[in-house]
Parts: sequence; structure tokens; C-alpha cells
Amino acid sequence: MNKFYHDNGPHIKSPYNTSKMMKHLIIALFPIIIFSVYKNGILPYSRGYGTLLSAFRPLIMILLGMLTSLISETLFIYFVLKIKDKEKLITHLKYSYAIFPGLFLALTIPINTPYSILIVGAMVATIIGKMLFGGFGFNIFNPALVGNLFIISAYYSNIAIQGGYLNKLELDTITQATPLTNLQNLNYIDTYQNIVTPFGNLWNFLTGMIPGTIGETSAILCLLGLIYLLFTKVITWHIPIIYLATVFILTSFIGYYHDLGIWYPLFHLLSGGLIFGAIFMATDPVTSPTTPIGQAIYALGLGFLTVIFRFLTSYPEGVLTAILTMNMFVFIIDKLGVKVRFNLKKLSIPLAILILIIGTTTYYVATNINKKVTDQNFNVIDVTEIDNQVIYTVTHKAYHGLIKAKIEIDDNTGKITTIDILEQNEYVWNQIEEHNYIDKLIQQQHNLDDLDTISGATYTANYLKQMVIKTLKEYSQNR
Amino acid sequence: MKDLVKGIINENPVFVLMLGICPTLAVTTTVENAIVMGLSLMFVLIFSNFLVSLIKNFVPEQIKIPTYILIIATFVTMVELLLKAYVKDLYDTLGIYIPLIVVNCIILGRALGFASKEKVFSSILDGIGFGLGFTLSLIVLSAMREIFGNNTITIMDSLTKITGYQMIYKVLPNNNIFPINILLKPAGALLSLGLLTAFFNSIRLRKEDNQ
Amino acid sequence: MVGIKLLLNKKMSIKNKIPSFDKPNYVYIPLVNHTNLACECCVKKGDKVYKGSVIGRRNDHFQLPIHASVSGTVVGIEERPYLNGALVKCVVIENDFKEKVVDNFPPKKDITDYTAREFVNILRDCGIVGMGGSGFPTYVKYDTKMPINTILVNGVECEPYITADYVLMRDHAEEILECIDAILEITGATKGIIAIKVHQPEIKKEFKKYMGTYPNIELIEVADLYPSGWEKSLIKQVLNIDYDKLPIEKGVVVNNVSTIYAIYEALKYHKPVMEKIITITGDKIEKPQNVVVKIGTQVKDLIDYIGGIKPGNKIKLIAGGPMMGVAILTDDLVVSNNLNCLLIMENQNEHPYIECMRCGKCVNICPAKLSPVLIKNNVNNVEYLKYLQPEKCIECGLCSYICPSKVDVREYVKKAKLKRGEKNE
Repeated sequence: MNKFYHDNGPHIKSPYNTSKMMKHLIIALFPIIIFSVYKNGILPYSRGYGTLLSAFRPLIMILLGMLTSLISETLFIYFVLKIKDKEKLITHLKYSYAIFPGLFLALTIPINTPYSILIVGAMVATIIGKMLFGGFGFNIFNPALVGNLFIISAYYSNIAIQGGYLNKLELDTITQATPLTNLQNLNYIDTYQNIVTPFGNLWNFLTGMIPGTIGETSAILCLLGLIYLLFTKVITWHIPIIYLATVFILTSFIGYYHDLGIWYPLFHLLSGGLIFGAIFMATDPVTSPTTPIGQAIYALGLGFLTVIFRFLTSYPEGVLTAILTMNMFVFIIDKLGVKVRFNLKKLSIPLAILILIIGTTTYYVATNINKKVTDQNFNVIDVTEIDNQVIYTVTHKAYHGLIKAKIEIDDNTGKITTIDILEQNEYVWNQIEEHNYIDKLIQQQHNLDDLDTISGATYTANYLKQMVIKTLKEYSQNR
Repeated sequence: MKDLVKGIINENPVFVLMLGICPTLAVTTTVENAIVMGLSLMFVLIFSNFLVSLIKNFVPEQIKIPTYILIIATFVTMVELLLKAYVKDLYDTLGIYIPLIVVNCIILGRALGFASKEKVFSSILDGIGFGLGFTLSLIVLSAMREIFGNNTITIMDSLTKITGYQMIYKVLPNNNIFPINILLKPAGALLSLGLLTAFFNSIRLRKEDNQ
Repeated sequence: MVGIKLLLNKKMSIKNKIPSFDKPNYVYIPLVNHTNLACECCVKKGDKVYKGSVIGRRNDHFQLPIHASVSGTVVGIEERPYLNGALVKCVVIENDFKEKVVDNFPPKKDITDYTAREFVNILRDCGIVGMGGSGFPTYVKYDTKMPINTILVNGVECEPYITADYVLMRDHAEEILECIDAILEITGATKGIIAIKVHQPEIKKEFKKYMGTYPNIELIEVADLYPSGWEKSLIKQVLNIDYDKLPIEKGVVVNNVSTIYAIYEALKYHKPVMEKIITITGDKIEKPQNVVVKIGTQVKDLIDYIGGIKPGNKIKLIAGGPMMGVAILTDDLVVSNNLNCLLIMENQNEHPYIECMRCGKCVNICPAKLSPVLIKNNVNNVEYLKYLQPEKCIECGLCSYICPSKVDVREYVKKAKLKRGEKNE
């Protein structure tokens, strides 16, 4: 009697495995990384900004992020999980895919982040975002986004001092803000000239020559990555397509309400981290639902939350917080998805409620946006009269925070005599002082619309102008 | 003796029993606030335990709880008036959390749960133990939050008027990483509380496994 | 259309001649039928039996006799492995190589000359069971008051490597058609359908030779996916009908094509099931082919008869196909009337341990619309299992097949099924 080998389960298995999936993912990211090195490193270097080392800054950041998360995971496994046997340690690391939190973190933070902050962020992302929940396969939140949130909320002022999201070339040539910050400054509804043209035309948005983080600017390369990933069956089509379609439909509704053309929803789609986040971050298999209907509802919720966070909160970029919020609801969505798989009719009530909420909130957003009258940017705090001088203490919204100033107007002539700046947080104030802009404002106070702004300090100069104009208007209305 | 020690390590009210989290998270922005809060609670706890345990046999069943709360409220009022008189700005910082000591779960748990059933001396020791445990935990938590979140340790700032010393130290040299100012906000409070609880629990449970 | 295209490997076992291993020294008839693994025994040591004598009986909610497949002497009762891996009691008969057949009733000349009641009786008395792997007593399917309007013959054979039904249809197409026609007339059904896979021109040619005389019978081709041969999926694909628990609710009866051939022999000659065609194949068998074997033959003798096993490392003996078959530990496995393939191959499942990453591929591919990954995560949570309905699992194995992390998902679903079964009792 001969003995044979025994095991359970099917005796033939599909040749596809997890390591192949991760390799396809890295291949899909290659064009994006190469483009980013070109745009953020080589292009400024060729125009004369920065050194040769800083030309490869995106690549260095990515490698540093991957290395840090690998090392922190090794240390965690060694000291906390107490796996000290070398063979077991290497196998554990190999199948835990430790480099991905660091890689995606480096792709979604501003380019001017100092290296030390990137290291701290990668450690937080790996340890708190992934290992403390139980390791690979058990985390609830996307670890790269946890690290990203930590960096942005704890260190944003440190990053902004070094230049924020803009590389050195853009700081001088294009403008001072990313497209979405610009949109927020203009109160969300404005013309094509003001929203899109400062960065070129929509074609620039598609190819990616606009300010942004390392990975997210080039829409067309991300879409190529999507096609590659769908073709090799790494992700399913439900989440990216439904997410992008929802954002497109909701923003076109808002744009249509205010008579803006088709460029408005296209602008929303192509700016910020939306396409990159929809394709690479939201489809992370561990943190997204498993049933197909569940994935569709997840994507619907993501689109809705992105639009709300962009329009109604003070964060210009909504994708990060939207994904983290919906990650909390994955468990409930899976329960619904299971019920629906057996009986499609059970979807009707939750879907109706969801569409009702989305519809009413979008309507509210569309109607209430323009009610933010620009006068909210300008505030008169105090008016005092001494002899024949009227002294206005005013604040005006500026590029970074508020500008507080004391403006003295001579009551006999109706002219401004002095402007004292009490508080300001602008980055480019030295330019204002160099060009003696305050004196120019006083000299040309009756003809301010013709006064040029300073290149390199356009926004701040503009705000100062607005402040003086509105003070004068306030004075003339009340006298 | 066991009554004294159990409040510090094995039944630490902040990291193990998780009682009284609300004032813990709110006042631990500087070490000085933590010390004052902890000492106030210790004072109230010791004396309330003492009195409750003294009169426990003479109070009828039906009015036990209002009577004990009256005792606790009396001592809290004493502390509040003292703080208001001598260190007004500290009183303003601690705000509403001083009156809230009355309904703090630690005091209710120990005074109503333990002292109303045990002897006087055990109750006093229990009060000292829990008060010490609370104060020490608060000092550790606030040290972590303040060092990493503000790059200073403030041991005596508002109390300077009384003691005459001012102790504010800068801990780490200027760098990019610290201060992490999110740790001074509520989100950072919960984060640091969670991490410290995990750390202490791992030590405590490892000791229990070894036994 | 649910399913996935698998690598079939069927050509290696299709040969023109089908030998017959009809002289085993001993046979071990398992006292088993469908879910009853301990049927009664009607003989004792020393009894003389003939081919077709009743030696055992199933006697619970279904009644079914168990027949001897050779003539000889009963030597005793021993335990042997059955095709699900368990050890069952078998009646051991020593073959005396005589051909005497027991004869119960006189044969009828025309096989359509039976009433419905006589038809059910003869199905029961000849011990006809589902020969495609289930072993379910066939008479129960026809013993119904609901009207039957379609007979669907399942010749799909969707699992890789198995070709037993293929060669049966190739060599006996005429008898199969005659039998279907007889069943249509006996039961009063109006339509007969034979379902085969696409890209099988040889079988199509054989059937088309005789189809002209049978206007009520149709040949329909189904897609080359696994598991197209599953009852629910087949009825949906061929007839576009959904049913709840049993296909008889919509007047459809499904039978495997080997069962139809056994019914033919029962109706024409009153022969009970005594032998069947088995595919022995795999990359570690010297000569892969189909063989006609007697019920109760030991696999050890069979393998020696056809040439033996090639040497190798970690060889598996699988009873059934590669997806749903069970790896048996020793080669004294006995051939029962629901075994249709023996697969001898090297172990291909050497995979490192990777955590499940909840990618959802198993959910997308499950033909029964279950969510295997959620069942795996909630095996101990009986409350949540009520929603997940693991009892609908048909154990096709596609979830474990497609998992990129190579997790044994099907085992968890089977465990969950047991837990639900326990709770219901």
C-alpha cells in the first residue's frame, strides 16, 4: 500500500499572486516619477535655479521615504513583535510590502518638505498607520494618508516657509499659489481668466505643468497608469470611474447653476490630487470595500465628500480627508454590499437616501457660495477721530492670514496721510518694502486702479490695494 | 500598604481604569497645570475619603449619595476659593475643570465605592494612592505633550507669585521637527494618551505574563 | 455567465480504445449512498452472490439497494477509504470469474413501454444514482407530483482533466438519444436538451448523425467556463430560468449523461449499476486513459493494470477533478459509483504565507454570489454568518483558485457551513 501527499483545497491554482500585483503597481508609477523629476528638478535646474543635487530632489525624497518605512517596520518587528530569527524576519518583511506607505507618502507631500520632516512622517505612517493596527492586511486607514495628515497638520508652517507646494521655478514665473488655493481665494466662482489662465490653459493641467505635489500633477500619466492597472487586473474599474464621475457631475451642477461652461468641472477634475488619489490611493485593496456594490457606494461617498470639503471648508484640497473619512465606513458598507448581492432590491432605500442627501447638499452649496460677498475680506475694526484726522483700523484678507493696518485720513482734504502696517504674515513683505509700495499707495490713492503690482508679490500688492480702496469707499460713504 | 500602591501602578486611574479622561486631556498642556490639578484632586480625595469613611455608619441608606456629594462639594469649593484668591491666572486657565472635580469619576468611584465600605485608615491610604497615581500620570502625560509640542517644560510660571521661582526650561535646540504643535490640541492629546497607554500596558501585561 | 476559463489538459486522456479492467481478484463494495455513509448490510461471511445480487440497502428517508458487481463469495467486511477521504465499511467479495447474473424480472421489448410508476420503481431497484459525482438517488428526482416539462442532460464536464463523459458520448451517442426519447415519452415531458461544451466537433458529429429521428431533442452548446456544469448556472444559461431550491419547481429535471446511459441499461436489460468509465490521468501516470472498471475495484490494482506511476516528489492521488477532488492518503481507495476521475499529479501548491489583503477577487468570481473573504473573517461570529449565507456554497474552489495571496478560502467557508449547521440543530 503506497502513501501519497495530502493537502486541502484546489490542486491547481491561478498563476497570479500578490507580489506580481505590487510589481505592476510600481511599473504604473514609473512614468509619473520620471515626469516629476523632469518638471520639479531638471527643468528648474536648466533655467538656473538650484544645484544639481536639488534637481533630483523628488527621486531622493521617494527613496528616503521608502527606506525609512522599511527600516521602521524592521525595527518594529524586531523589538515589539519579537521576531528575532533572521529567516523569519526576512520572509515577514518580504510579504508585508513595507515600502508602500513611504512611497505613496513621498508622492503626496509638498516638494519643499525638509528631509527630517519626511522621515518623521514616514515613521508615523508606517508605525501608527499600519503596524499598530496589526500589520499588512489589517489596517483600517490608508497609512500614507495618515502620515500625510500628520505632516500637514503639524508642520505646515515649516513647509510653507520653504515655499510650500511650489518649486523654485514656479515661485518666480507662474504665481504664488496652487490652482485650488487660488480658487479658494476667489471664492470658488469666477471667470476662466481668473481661475485657469494664471496657470496656462487646460492643456497644461492635463500634461501636468502646474504647481502641485510630486505625484499628482500629471493627469494624463495617471490615466495611462489606470489603463495599465485595469488591463493587468490589479484593480477593478468601480472605484476610480465612479469617483471621478461623481465629482464631475456635482461640480458641473454647481458650475451650471452659476452659468460657467464645461471648463469648470474639467478644472476641478484635473487640479489637485484628485486623479492620482482616485486611481492609486482610494483603490488600496486593504482599506476599501470588497463587494462590487460596496465599492460603488464607497466611490459615491468619496466624490460627495471631496466636493463638500473643497467648497465648504478652509482646506483647499479635499481628497485626503475624504478618503480617510470614508475609510471609517468600510465595515458598514461591506454589510450593505453583502445583503445587496443576494437581492438587488435591498439597494433601493439606502441609495435613495444617499442621493437625496447628495442632491440637497449640492444645491445648498451652489446657491450659497456666491453669498460670500467680498466685503467679508475687509473689516473695519475701529474708527477714531482726533483733531481733524479720522483713523481707521482695518483688517483685510491677505495671502497668508490677515493684514492689519491703521490708515489716517485728513478730514479737510479727504486724503490718506499715513498707512501704518500693524500686523502682517506675508512671505514676500521684503519686496513690498523694497519697492516702497506703501508710499506709492499713498501717492496714487485716487488712481489706484492704474497702479501696477509688483511681480513676485502680486497677490500681496493686490490685497493692499483693495484695502486702501475699500477704506476710501468707507470713508466717502460715511462722510 | 497594598491600598497605597494599587492606585499608582495596578489600578492607575488614567492609564488602566481610564477614569476622568476629560480633565486629563484638557489641562495637560503644561506641566504646571498638571501638577496643580493633580494636587487639587488629591486634596479633595483624601479628605473626602476620610470624612465619608468616618460617617458611613450613621447615614441612612436613602440619603447616602447626596450626603457624600455634599462632602465632596465642600472640599472642592475650598480648593476653588483658594486657587481663585492666590493664583488667579491659573484659576482662569483651569477654568471649569476645578468645579468638575465634584463629579470626576475617580472621586465618585473611590469615595462612594470604596470609602463608604472600608475602614478609615484604609480609606485615607487609598485616597493618597489614587491621588498620587493621578498626579504622576498627569505629569508624565503633560511632560510628553509639552516637550514635544512646545519645546519647553513649565514647572512654575503662574505660581511664581507665591513661591518666587520661575521655572520654564527650553528642552530641545531649535530644529525642524519639534515643536509639533498638533500635540497641544485635542487631537494630539488623544494620540499621546493612546500611545502612552499602549506603552504602559505592554510593560504591565508582560510582567503579568511572566508571573 | 459566471466562471473562469481554466487550462483543460483533456487531450492527454482521450484515446480511441477504452480497455476494460473486468477481472479484479477482490472487490470492496462500499456500503454508502450519497450522504448516508453507513448503509445496512444484507449478507454475511460465506454467502455466495451473483452479479447484481443485492448485498446492502439504504434504509432512511430514501430506499435504495446496493448491488454486487462480480459473482463470488463474501469474504467479510473491511474498511477502506471512500472518495471524500473518510473510511467506510465495504463488503469484500472474492471473484470467481463467473458471469452469472441475477435475474429479477422479464425484459420488455420496447423501452418506452413503462408507466411513470414502473419507471420510478425500476430506477430504484437498479440502484441508479447520479454518476457525475453527487451519488444522489435518481428515482427521487422522478418521484414527484409536479409536472415535468424538460429533461436536461448535462454533458458539460467542466472540470479540467476529466474525459469520461466525453468518450461515453463519442461511443454511445445512439443509445443516449434513444434513452432520452424514452424518458420523454414515459414522463410526458415535451423537450429534451443535451448540453455540451463548445469546441467539441467530434461529439457534435456523432450526435448529429442520429438527431434527425428525434425532433424533440436539441443539442445546445455552453461556454467553455468553469463551473458551467453546475446545475443552477446550467439551467440559467440554457433555459434562462431561475429556481429557488430544486429545479423540479420549474418542471426541469437534470441528469448527468453517464446516469442516462445507466438508465438505458436498466430499462433495456434490467442491469443494475455494476461498472462505469473512469478517467485516470495526470502528469505522473505512465499511460493516461479512460478505463471501464467494476464498482468496488481497488485503485491500487487498477493503477498496476494500466502501467503504474512515474517516480516523483510529493505525488498526490486525487479522487475527482483538480478543483473539487479530495487528495486521498493511501491507494487502497475503492471505486464507488460516483467516482469519475483519478488524478495523479505532483503537488503544485508550495506557496509562502501572505496575509489576505481583502482585494475582493474571490467575491467577484463566486458563482453562488457569496463573499468568501467576509466569511473567512467572521467564522466565529454566528450572528453575522446569518447574513453571509455560507450554506449556499457549492465548494467549487474558485475562491481559493483565484486568491493572489494563496489563502485557503474554501476551507474557511466549509468551516462556516459546519458552524451554521450546528446552530440549526
